Amino acid sequence: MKAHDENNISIEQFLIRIEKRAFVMARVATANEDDALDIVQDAMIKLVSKYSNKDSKEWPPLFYRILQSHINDWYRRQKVRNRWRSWFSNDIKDDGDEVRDSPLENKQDDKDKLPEDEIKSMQFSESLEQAVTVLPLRQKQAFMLRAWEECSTKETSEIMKCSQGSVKTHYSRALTSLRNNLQEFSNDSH
Amino acid sequence: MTHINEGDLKLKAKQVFDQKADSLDLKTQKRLEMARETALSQRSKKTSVFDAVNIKWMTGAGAGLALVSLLTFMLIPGLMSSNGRQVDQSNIAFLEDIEILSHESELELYTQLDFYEWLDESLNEAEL
Repeated sequence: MKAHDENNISIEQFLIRIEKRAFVMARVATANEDDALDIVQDAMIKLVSKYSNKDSKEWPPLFYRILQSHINDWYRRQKVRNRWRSWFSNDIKDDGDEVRDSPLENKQDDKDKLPEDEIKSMQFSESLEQAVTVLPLRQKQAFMLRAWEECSTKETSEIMKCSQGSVKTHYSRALTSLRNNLQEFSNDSH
Repeated sequence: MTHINEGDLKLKAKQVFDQKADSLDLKTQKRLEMARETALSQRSKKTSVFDAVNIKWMTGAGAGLALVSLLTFMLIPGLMSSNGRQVDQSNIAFLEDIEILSHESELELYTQLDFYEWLDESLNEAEL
C-alpha cells in the first residue's frame, strides 16, 4: 500500500511539474487554448492509465511522445475539417499548414507606460511566439523540443517518431524561418 | 544583413516560453488542475475495477468448485451399482454430465462477473 501511495504521489508530482509546459507546447501547436487543454488532459490520462507503472525516469519522454501524438492527431483532424470547409468557402486557405488566429493578435496593448527597452523585449517575445506558432507543425515540434525542452536530437527523434536526420532538417528549417521573421530585432540586444 | 545567431535564439526562446509557462492565468491553472485530477482518477478507477473483478473471479471460481463438489456428492450414490458395466457407463455419463454442467456453470459465472464489473463501475461513478 505504501509503495502504491508513493507511486501515486510521484506521478502526481510529475504531472504538476510538467502540465504548464505541456499546455504552452500544445497551445503553440494549436493556437487554441481549449484544444490545448484537451490535448494535455488526454496525454495525462494516457500516461497515467498505461505507463504509471513504468520507472519515473521514463515518464518525461513517454509523456512528450504521447503529447506530440495527440497534437499530430489534432492536426490531421483540422486538415480534414478545413478541407471540407474549403470546398464550400473561400475564407480558409488550404496551403498545407493552416494558419489560425493567434491569441496574440487580440491582446490588449498596455505597453505605453513601459520603458522602451522593456517594450522592445515584449515585442520580441510576442514576435518570437507568433513566429514559432506559424511554423509548419514538424518544424514547430522540433524547435520546441530541441530549443525549449533541450532534448537531444536522439530524444527528439524518439518523441517525434522520426529519424535523427529528419529532426535536424526540421530544426534547421525552423531556425532559418525564425531568423528571417525576427530580422528586425537582429541588431537589438535582449 | 545580420541574423540572430542560433545560441541567442535558443536562449531567448527558452526565456520566453519559460515565462509563458510560469505566468499562466488562474483560470487556465485551475483547468489544468482539473485535467490532472481526472487523469489520476483513471488509475484508481482501473485499480478498483481490477480488484473487484479479481475478487469476483475468486468468488466465482470458489462457487464453481462448490457446485462441482455438490454435484459429485449428489451423483456418487448413483454410481454405487452392483452391475459393473452399468457403473462404467454411468461413470462416463457422470463425468460427461459433470463436464457439461461445470461448463454451463462457468458460463453463468462469466456473465455474472460482467454484471459485477458493470455494477462496480456504476457505483464508482455514483460516488464521484
